[in-house]
Order: sequence, then C-alpha cells, then structure tokens
Amino acid sequence: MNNNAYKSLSKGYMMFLLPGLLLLSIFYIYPVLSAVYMSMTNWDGVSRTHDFVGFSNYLTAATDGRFLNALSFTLQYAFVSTVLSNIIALSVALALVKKIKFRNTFRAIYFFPAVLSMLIIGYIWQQIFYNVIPYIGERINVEALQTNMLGNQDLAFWALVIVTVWQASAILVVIYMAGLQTVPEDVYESAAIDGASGWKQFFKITLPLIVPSITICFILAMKQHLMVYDYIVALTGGGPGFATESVTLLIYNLGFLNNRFGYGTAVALMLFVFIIIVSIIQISYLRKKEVQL
Amino acid sequence: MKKSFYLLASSAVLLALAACGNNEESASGSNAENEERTTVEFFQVKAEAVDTFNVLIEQFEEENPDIEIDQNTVPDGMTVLTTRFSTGDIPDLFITYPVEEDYVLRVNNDYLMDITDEGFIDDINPEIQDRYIENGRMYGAALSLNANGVLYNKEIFESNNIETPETWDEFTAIFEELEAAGETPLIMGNQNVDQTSIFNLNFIAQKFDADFWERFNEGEIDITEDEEWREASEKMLEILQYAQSDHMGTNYDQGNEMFAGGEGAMYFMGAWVLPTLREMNPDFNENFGYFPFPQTNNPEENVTISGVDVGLSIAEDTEHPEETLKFVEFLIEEAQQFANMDGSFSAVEGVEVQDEVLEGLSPHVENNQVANWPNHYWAGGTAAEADFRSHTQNFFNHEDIDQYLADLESMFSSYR
Repeated sequence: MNNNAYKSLSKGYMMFLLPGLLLLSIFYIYPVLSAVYMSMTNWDGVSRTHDFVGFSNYLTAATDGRFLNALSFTLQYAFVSTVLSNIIALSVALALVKKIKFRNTFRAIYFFPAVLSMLIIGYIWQQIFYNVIPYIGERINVEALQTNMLGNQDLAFWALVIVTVWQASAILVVIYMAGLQTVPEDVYESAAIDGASGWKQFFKITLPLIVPSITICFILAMKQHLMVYDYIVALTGGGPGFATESVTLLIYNLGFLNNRFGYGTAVALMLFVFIIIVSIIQISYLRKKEVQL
Repeated sequence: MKKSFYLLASSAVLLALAACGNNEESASGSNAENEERTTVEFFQVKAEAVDTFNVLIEQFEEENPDIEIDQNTVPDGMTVLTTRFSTGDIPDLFITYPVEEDYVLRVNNDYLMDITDEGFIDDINPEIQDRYIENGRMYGAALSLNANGVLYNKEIFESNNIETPETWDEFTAIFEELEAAGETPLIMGNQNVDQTSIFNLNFIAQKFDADFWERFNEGEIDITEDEEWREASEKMLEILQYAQSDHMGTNYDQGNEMFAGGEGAMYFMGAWVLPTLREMNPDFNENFGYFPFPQTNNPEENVTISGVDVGLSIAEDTEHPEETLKFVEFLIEEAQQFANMDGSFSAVEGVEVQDEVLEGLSPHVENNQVANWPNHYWAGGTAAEADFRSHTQNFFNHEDIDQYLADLESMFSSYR
C-alpha cells in the first residue's frame, strides 16, 4: 500500500470515529466537565443563580461527619464484600470446572442470582430477613438473629454483605471458570509427577496462571461495591439511623433531599477520583503477579 | 470497494435524515388538528389520586372543550419535579406543600404564580390556606388534607371492653391493659425510617407552635436543655415499649399486613394508608376505626396532625395562565366530589368527609383542633425532616434521651 492510499484510508477511519466521539462528548465528557464546575458552586438545584465558591465544598467534606461516616461504611463494605465474593466465587468455580455430576445444572443454579433484577432481590431478601432468619434464630437460640437483621444497627452491615456476596459471586464464578479452563492439563500432570499435592498445585500453578482473571474480578467487584446504591435502597434505605448510608446514597440525598447539588457533586467527584486510585493500585499490584507460561 | 463503502455510509445517513423528516412532519400534522385546544400539563405526584383526577378532568374538559388537561404522574414524582425545576422544564400546574423549604425556595426564585387575589382562595379554610403565606402573598391553593391519628382494631377493643381514650393517662392505661390481656397493643413499622416520625411528630406537633419554631430557627432554643423536648422523648419511649417485639425490623408493608390482618390493637398512621389496608382486608371498614392521638390529659389541648395533601401551584412562566387558573378554580368548586372519591378531609369550607373510618378524626379537624406537620416549619425543610427521622430511628434503637437530644441539636444547628 502506498503512502497516499494509506492516508486517505486513515481519513476514512477517522470519519468513523466521529459519531462515537460526538456521542462520548455529549453524554460523557461534557457532563463530567460541567460536574467539575458545579462542584465548585453552591447551587441548590432550584435557584436560577449560584455563586462560585472554589474548593470550599471539598474542604467541607473533609470535616463533615456524615460524609466520613458514609466513606468509612463504604470502604469496609467494599473491602469485605470484594474479598468474600472472590473467595466464594473462586471456590465454586474450582468445583464447577471439575467433571462432577449435574455440572451444567449446578452452573445454571449458581448463575441464577445474576439474572434477577435488583428489585426482586430486594423483595426476596426483605422476606428472608424478616421471616426466615428470625425463625432459624429462634430454633438455634441465637438472640441476635431473632429479630430482623436489617433493623439492627450492628447486623445491618452484614445483612447487606450477605446479599451482595450472594449476587456478585455469580458473575465472578463465570469469569473464574473461563480463567481456570485456560490452564493447560499438562502442567498439572507434570506437577503431579514431581509429587506436588492438591494444595501445592493450587497455590503454585493455578493461582499464578489465573491472575488475569483475579485482576478483572477484583477490579470489577471493588468498583461495583464502592458505588453501592441499589442494595441499600432496596434493603435498608441507609438505616437504621445512618448505619448503612453509602457515599452514593449520600450523594443522592444531598442532591435531591438536602438541595445541596454543588456539595453533592463535589462528593461524587471525590468518589470518582477515589475509585480511579484504588483501581490503579489494584492493577499495578496484580500485574506484577501475572506469569506467562 | 472504497467507493461503495462511502456510498453505503452516506445512504445510511440519508436514510436516517429522511426518517427524521418524516417524524417532524407527522408531529406538526397532529399539532395542526389540535390547534384550537390548549394543553395544560398537570404534574400530579399522588399515585392514588390519578383516577379521581381523571374523572374531574373529564368533566372539566366537557365544560371547556378548548382546554385539554394532561395529567402526568410518574414514580417518585417529587424528585422528578425537583429535577424539572433544576432544568427549567417546569409544568404548568403541580402539587406543592406549603411552608416547606422547597416551597419557600421556589417562591423566592419567582417560579410560582401569585394567586392571593383569586376568588377561589376565599372558599378555602383560612386556617389551612394561610400556611401558604410567604412574604405576605400566597402561591398555592390547598385542596385536601391528610390527617394522622391512631387506627384501632374494634374487635380487640370490644373483646377487652376498652373504649377509645381521650387523655394521655387513659391512653397509656389501655396499652397496659392490652398487654396484660396477652394482646399486641401496638404495631409499628420502624424499619422504614419515615414511619418513626409519623409516630413521634404527634408529640412535637402538640407541644410547639409556629412561634416556637420561629424562635427555634433563630437558635434561641437549645433542645438539649429544653424540658418539653425531654418530656416528649420520654413519652415516645413509654409508648415504644408496647410495640411488637421486632418493630425495628418490620417495614411499612409488613406493618400494614400485620395490622390489617388483626395482629395488633393500634397503629399510628396517616389517612393515606386507608386504601392499602382496605385492599388487604375487605372487612376493614366494619372492624377498624380512628381516634385522635391523645398527647395530654386535657382533651381540649390535644391536636391531630393535618397537613395539605393536595395543594396546587401554578408556574410563573406558564404559557396558559388563564386556562390553568380556570382548572384550579374548577377543582376548588368540585372539592366535595373530590373528597367523596378521594376519601380525604377537604381544605375547602363546607365540604364534609364521607369516609366512615376517617370520621373518627372529624371532631378535631372540624373544630380546627389541628396542627401542621412540624417539619414544615423547620429551617432545613425536607432535608432536616429526613435527618430527624434517621436520628429518631437511632434513638429507638439506643433509647438514650441525652444522646438523641444532642444529635438533634447539632443536626438542627447545621441548618440554621
């Protein structure tokens, strides 16, 4: 291909980029930029005018007990949910790639939570926490479980974690299964000949070879859980009191209940930057652990 | 190859443009037909009232063939309305509650039409309508009222030979008696944070009037040192102990089911719940009744919380002010019809409530022995209300009055 032809072809390709770029600018880049501006105003969401206040919204957040409370809840929740859902998903995936009876049926069953809508999950688990768990609690005589976990200041956190892990694991299982199937059989065979036991095989062979899957799963799960909103709205509404108010719920409340659009946007941007930082740390750490055969 | 590619792409673009053109044509075509009819958008946030309004709209459109009222009801309407204000896409007519922060904010930004001098304002009970006064003018008209009292299960009351109470002492004695008889005296759905305030604002509303809140908002009153607040909190705890064992884990729907299913003797709830309970229990009207919440030992001093349920405001920028006003006037004229269908108290004078359960609250409402929802006077408005509920839910958990009052004081002072 001569240079001229290449140039005109690449011009053609550039043309095809335009519609995408246009859509991206209108629906993504412009809103983000206007949000950056809005976060530096005191707009209440209704007034026709607003003042530019610089970084004071960000400074307010640093000392706002409610924001700090939401942040610490979100961090704990995201960390616990991410770790638990990944451990559970990996264990289930390990079992489901083995040649066991009813393998496909089990795969379908374990994937089931992922296809349920959040609203349905909310209803199901409301009933489970209200009826089933207190019943079990009475049977096994554990006082803490005899009332609805969602109404209990200390247990509401764990109730949310249970529901989150239950649903989030389903997708992760699929990713882990795909990762596990890429590990070639012969590596295991030679390891077996060298006398490596099951656990040793898992830690020395399986785990290093599926690090790309682990990276994806941790980042996806962490991002999803740092932005948790739907589970909380469906189950506790942020209560009891402020016990389960996440940062995203706080953003919504600030904007639509408290008429503090400017401040709410500032909090949203802080969450945005925070998620980017966490993701970069995760990627750079896990990338180093990856190995190639 | 390349040529055909461009050809394909450009024809695709052309096709898309042609499709756009078609749409515009058909849209303008249908507009031409309706040219003589003015369409007024009525943004209506009360899902239960849609059918009622449809009946009235039909009558109105028959009388005024040149006006079309477009009732628009969406889920989570109040939030959508806020969004539409922020984007400048304001409906012609919408529901607005008086005194609330949202209302004040909208008035001060000149979003609402001044309707103080309209004739129909005189037909509305001034006790209620005056809540719309802001800077000496009114920007809304009250149509119906909600009311908040004690729903009770007549069967349980009768089988234990209990009469409805009129004083605080009688009230607490009933709880005692019912519990001794092995009944569940009270159902509460405190897992839903808004249920907590439906109960405890009864005390707050009775104790404090508009003047108090004015001083309060100025920061002249410290909750932590106010005896009245302490007494109200003590009364809350006194009642709370009679609720079913897992009241913190019961939500609004579950509470409704329990009460409609006859599992408890009393339920603190507003009139808006009646349609739901009737659906759950077909014999609801025979077996259940209302009595006003007796906050004190002096029946004359007790009040029923009653706020504007449907109140109407017109956008200042509306393109059809006359048509919209005509419709509001029509609604106020037809208030009796509205009350009959909606089963609510009316803000319009001379209209009587037809609902047999709700009648239990009539003595208070008809004597104007009513108080507005106290949160309507708070400096933080809706936001302070939401925080108040969360702190209250906390309080129901830890039951520590000092902590509660300290939380409230710091919450309120953040809005002053």
